[in-house]
Amino acid sequence: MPGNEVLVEVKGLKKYFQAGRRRVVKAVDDVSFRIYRGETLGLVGESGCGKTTCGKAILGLLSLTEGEVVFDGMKVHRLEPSERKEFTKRAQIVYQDPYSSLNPRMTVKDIIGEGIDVHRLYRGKEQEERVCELLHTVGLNREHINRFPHEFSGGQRQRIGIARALAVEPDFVVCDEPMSALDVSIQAQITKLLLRLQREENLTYLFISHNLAMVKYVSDRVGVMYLGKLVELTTSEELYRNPLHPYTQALLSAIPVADPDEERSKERVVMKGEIPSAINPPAGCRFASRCRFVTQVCREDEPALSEVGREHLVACHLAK
Amino acid sequence: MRNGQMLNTKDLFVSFKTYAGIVQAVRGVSFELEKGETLALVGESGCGKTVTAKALMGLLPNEQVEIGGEVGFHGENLLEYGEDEMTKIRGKHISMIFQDPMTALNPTMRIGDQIAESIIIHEQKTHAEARAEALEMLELVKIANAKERMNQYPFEMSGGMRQRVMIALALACNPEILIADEPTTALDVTIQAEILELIMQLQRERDMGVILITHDMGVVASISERIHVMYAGKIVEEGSVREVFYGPKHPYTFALMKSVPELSSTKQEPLYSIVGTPPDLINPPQGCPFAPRCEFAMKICKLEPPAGVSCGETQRSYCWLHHPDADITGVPEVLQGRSEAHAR
Repeated sequence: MPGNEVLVEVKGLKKYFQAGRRRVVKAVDDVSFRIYRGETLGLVGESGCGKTTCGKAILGLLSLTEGEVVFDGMKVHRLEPSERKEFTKRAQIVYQDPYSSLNPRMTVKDIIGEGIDVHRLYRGKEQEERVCELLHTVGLNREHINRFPHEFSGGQRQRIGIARALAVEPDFVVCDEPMSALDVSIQAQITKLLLRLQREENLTYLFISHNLAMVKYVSDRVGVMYLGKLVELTTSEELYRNPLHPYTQALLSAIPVADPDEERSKERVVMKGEIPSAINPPAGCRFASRCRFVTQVCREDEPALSEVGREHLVACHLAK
Repeated sequence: MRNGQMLNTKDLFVSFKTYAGIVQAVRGVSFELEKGETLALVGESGCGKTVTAKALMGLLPNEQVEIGGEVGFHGENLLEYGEDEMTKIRGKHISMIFQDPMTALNPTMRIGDQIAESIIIHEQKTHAEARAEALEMLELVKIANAKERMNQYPFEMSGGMRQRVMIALALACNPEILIADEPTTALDVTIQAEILELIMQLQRERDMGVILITHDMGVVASISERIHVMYAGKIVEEGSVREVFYGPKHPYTFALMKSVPELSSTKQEPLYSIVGTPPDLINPPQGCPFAPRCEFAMKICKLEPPAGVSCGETQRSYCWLHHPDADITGVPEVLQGRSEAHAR
């Protein structure tokens, strides 16, 4: 169960990419949040909002433009050589695309065993036993050990990706859209697997997805991102019951519900236009150009993420 | 709502010859599309929904493919048409929009010319007339600055805008039937809502029949009237959207709906999941295709394919559980649509 111990602290995270001489993509622009030990923090947003960049930056897979990520006392982007190994053992990632994230020339045994080798956790026969055990944990079996990734279906490959992440017994796993390449019936299987592993291994997850229903289902708290900014952060129940940011409201109302009567009677919050480019984004609130409630102050002043209720943070001038 | 049939398929079979063997992608699919209605074909990847659509459009290659059955359109069987005849049907009478607008549009052609092209071919208009019509189409699908956009290439547009261009292209010659193959799968939810709204609005205005292919039950609920659920190349359940959503009768439909988390649900309610994976269509199961994964499967399910049983006004389900002799202890009440009709 989530406690109050902070495992990951993200402070003023900025990641800009240079796109040509005077063009800067502000993929993540001043985002701060905490992840508590044992919880699942969801990050949602549409494509290009910076959620994956955020996840990769937290794991030190991207350098930062500004800001800091602290993982259990270690500064992720300024690790001592001795810390580096500890960090990579404790923080892992499951990627979105199970087709391109497994090396096609390695067998399952080598893919899962690589991390075990690097960290010298088990050797020889013991290592093989450990790989079999991991395969069993994720619902595959020992006959699969000498096969190559192409011999598996998408769902099975995602299980291999999960087994690889778990092989080094991490505390923290970033799940970057782990379901989006999978079919509905397989998504449910993987979701159940991730939740079971969290209970059994006491894992902390950062769960990144564009599927708000799925994020709500697996997460304790959810952060909503828009154009590189965190616009709302609260518990998943509160986010669904009482969304305060106009973007969150629009996002929630855009999701089609599998209920024909409700679907036909509900009123949609329609957003104007398309997402502006993250290259030189507008001043003021990033959402101002599409917001129904936009006022003059929104176009000039950028709203800060501030607490409006218990565990409810919103970056909007109107939500006070 | 019954106002004339536009298209029907009878016992459609499609199989592909591959090195590994013959893949029976579609195995006896029958449905009817009526004027002005939206029919959804729903199922997971590999269930044959896209192959069905491509067979209707005559878009499957001739070699290595075998197609059987009938596709009736205005009293003729489209499967007997040659390539020349199909060219006259495609785009003019039946149009299709594809899942990925980036690969479906020609990257080397300005979008105005792409839309005008089909108008020139099908309606014998001059270039200038066709371009004027193309501009109107772009305005119809609500593309801002349509005049400038006419001269742009697909790469200059966002995914949502490209899908609008695809819709404009598909509807340019005022077709009677639109086949939409996962039209919003590549798009973000907010853009998806707009595109679905657009398709619905254009359908109403033009009284088109729409075949919507998707795996997203939410999308089906928001724009379709009727639904056909496909699994392993067969239709396992069909009916009106209300019948099927509020009273699914086939265990697969039931499981499919239960395995998606609802926004209103909480973590306390465990997610329902179907064990295993869909069958290999090189050697499809002899009985019900879903039997190996079905938690209510009986002995007969693995041996013989179930017949369709009428479970409501328009609802039919292909499942042995509806048979009067089936053992239904432990089967959820909603699935127990047992009907006298089975004897017929």
